[in-house]
Amino acid sequence: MRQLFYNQAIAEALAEEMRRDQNVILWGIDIGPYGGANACTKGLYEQFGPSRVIDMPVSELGYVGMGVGAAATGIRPVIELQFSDWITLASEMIINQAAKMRYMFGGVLQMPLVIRAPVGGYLSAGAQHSNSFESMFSFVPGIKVIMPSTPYEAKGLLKSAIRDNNTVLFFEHKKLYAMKGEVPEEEYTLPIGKADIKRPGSDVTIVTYAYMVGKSLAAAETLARQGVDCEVLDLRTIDPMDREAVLASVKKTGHLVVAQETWRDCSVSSEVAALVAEEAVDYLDGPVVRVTAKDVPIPFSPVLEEYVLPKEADIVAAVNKVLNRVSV
Amino acid sequence: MAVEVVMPKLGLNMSEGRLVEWLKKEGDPVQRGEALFVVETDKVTTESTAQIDGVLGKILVEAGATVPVRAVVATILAEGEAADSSGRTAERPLGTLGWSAPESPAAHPAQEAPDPGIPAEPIQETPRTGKILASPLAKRLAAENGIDLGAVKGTGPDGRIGQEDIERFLADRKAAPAVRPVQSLPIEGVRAVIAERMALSLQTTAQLTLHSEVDATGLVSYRERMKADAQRDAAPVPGYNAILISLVARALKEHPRLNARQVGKTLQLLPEIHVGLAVDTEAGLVVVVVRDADQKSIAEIHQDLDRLTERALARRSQPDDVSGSTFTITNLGNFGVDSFTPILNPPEVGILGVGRITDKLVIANGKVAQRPMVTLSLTFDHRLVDGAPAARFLQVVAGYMAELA
Repeated sequence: MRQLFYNQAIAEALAEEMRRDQNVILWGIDIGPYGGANACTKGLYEQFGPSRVIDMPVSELGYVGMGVGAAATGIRPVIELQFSDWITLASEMIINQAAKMRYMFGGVLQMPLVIRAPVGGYLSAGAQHSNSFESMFSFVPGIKVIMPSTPYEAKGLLKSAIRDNNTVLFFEHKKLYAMKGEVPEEEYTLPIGKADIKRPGSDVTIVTYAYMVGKSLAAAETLARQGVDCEVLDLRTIDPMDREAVLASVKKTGHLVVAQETWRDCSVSSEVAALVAEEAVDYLDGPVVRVTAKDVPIPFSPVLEEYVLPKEADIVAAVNKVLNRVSV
Repeated sequence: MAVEVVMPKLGLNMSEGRLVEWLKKEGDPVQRGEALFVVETDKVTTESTAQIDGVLGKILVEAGATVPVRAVVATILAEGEAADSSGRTAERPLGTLGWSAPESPAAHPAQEAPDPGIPAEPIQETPRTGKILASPLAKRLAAENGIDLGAVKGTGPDGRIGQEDIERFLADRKAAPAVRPVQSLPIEGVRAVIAERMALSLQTTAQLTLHSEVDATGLVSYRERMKADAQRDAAPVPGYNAILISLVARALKEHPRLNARQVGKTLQLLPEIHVGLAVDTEAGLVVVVVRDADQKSIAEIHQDLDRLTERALARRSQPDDVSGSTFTITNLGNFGVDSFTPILNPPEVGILGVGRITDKLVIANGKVAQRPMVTLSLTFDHRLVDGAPAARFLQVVAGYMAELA
């Protein structure tokens, strides 16, 4: 099958949806002739022109607010934030406006807004350019949160996000933009809210998402050589979470590790652990162990960043802990 | 500070591993991640690596040995750090890993291992506190399979019971022969009395039993005559027991030491001869007592027995029916028993066991003859009666029996 980079898959999804629906309009910083800081809109300005691919000034509150208003009137804006870190500036528009309008106005309008934003560390980019805020937005009702881990999923899920009539935060990991993977040439979409078993296994379930999927798969390979069979479950959609998939896997393996890049307190991993505690505790044969960043801002120093962010070895150690194995 | 190197647990079901080969020698510098030794399980062969930089200290498990997972096989010392002669580090004695052994340490006695340097109990049991630790899954499986968690040995941290432990328990239970439920009957009432008296009897006396096979022709022929008389007079036919009680009562008159009881340091020879007879009832053994048997005719004894036995079987015995015997007869002839060793009925000093009457070929007056024979078994308290007088008593009983012919 044809191989595409993650950012190419995103550009292709945008182009296809823009051709499919003229209400799909993009805006963000440097997404026009420059093609976007991560080349996710490369060539789109040339194809669709300045009225559908619009460059924005550095004002997250302003242009995200504009997206909320546009969506309320029937436009399907796809907004790119150059770094998801600045979503904090736009969070009033997302949390208090976009997330609530359908509810407050009795469903008379829809909110078909997509905000794409790069997340994550491992780039020595400093504390203000390494955040992953998916947990914050999963907490808020009225917002969907998607974090694809492969080019195939990036394209299929972005197309579904654009067609969805709710606010969707689409977090793309910076380290994944250069990931190459198979993407079918024919049209396809992937369902929002469906997790994917990236590696079936019988001994322990590793629930993960985004960039940590790769690290989890690597850890699973290491453990497989030691006779431990890990199941790696990629959530793909953080909210709504595929609870059934998580529960089914844990019921099968009896052991759970949750691996996420960001901080642990009140996070996605907390939610997964709570879900299993509530719905499948009788299937657990050991403690739930989480692999997360340490509870400090992500350091600029590569040495310190490596210490703070979770590693493959941390996942191996977590699996050993839940299985009560001595690590080798 | 020294760090213990342990036999790794490489798979969920791994309980022990064979240390195939050491890749480092004592004193070799080792780096974190560097292979230390080769371990083999029933599933895989792999290298186990150092978890820290340092120098390989004392090797505690030689190549070729099989040890339980988490058994300490060596230590890694910091540069310049010395291990003491036993190989144990000064900071932390071996055997305090804080994990419980996956199996009883006794299952791996030291002599099984080729190196006497291996600690026989490399890992100490974590003492169990009152609460039984078990994973939720283990609890559910236990409930589904009707397992008492207290009976399951946990191999997790702090002795926590996991799925693996439950499955092992179930497998063991399956392998063991099915345990059928035990029916528990209370030991109370008549049973409790019997139990107490039998134990008391054997614990406080010196019992000896003499067996003597005697000719029962007199006994049998006498009863046949009584039968004939009974038919004629429409009178009841006395059983062998009534006849035996009469004979024994007469013999006791001649041997008063067997109609006696010990009280303190005296042997009291009793003026009355009350002969007890062991009766099998639903509730258990009951000894009914024919009072003054020496002064009663066989017919009277038979009447007494009829009345006493009927009440005993109906569990309506009066106190006097079952107390005060001075000597006891127990007859198992009806059950096909030839001879046995009766137990004294305390505080009596003698008890006569009667076996079945069987026709046998015997030599009588130089000729082979068929005779009904019976074995009498006399148990007596040898503290108070010697063997010869006891034997003489049996001879007297046999003599009276012969006189009946």
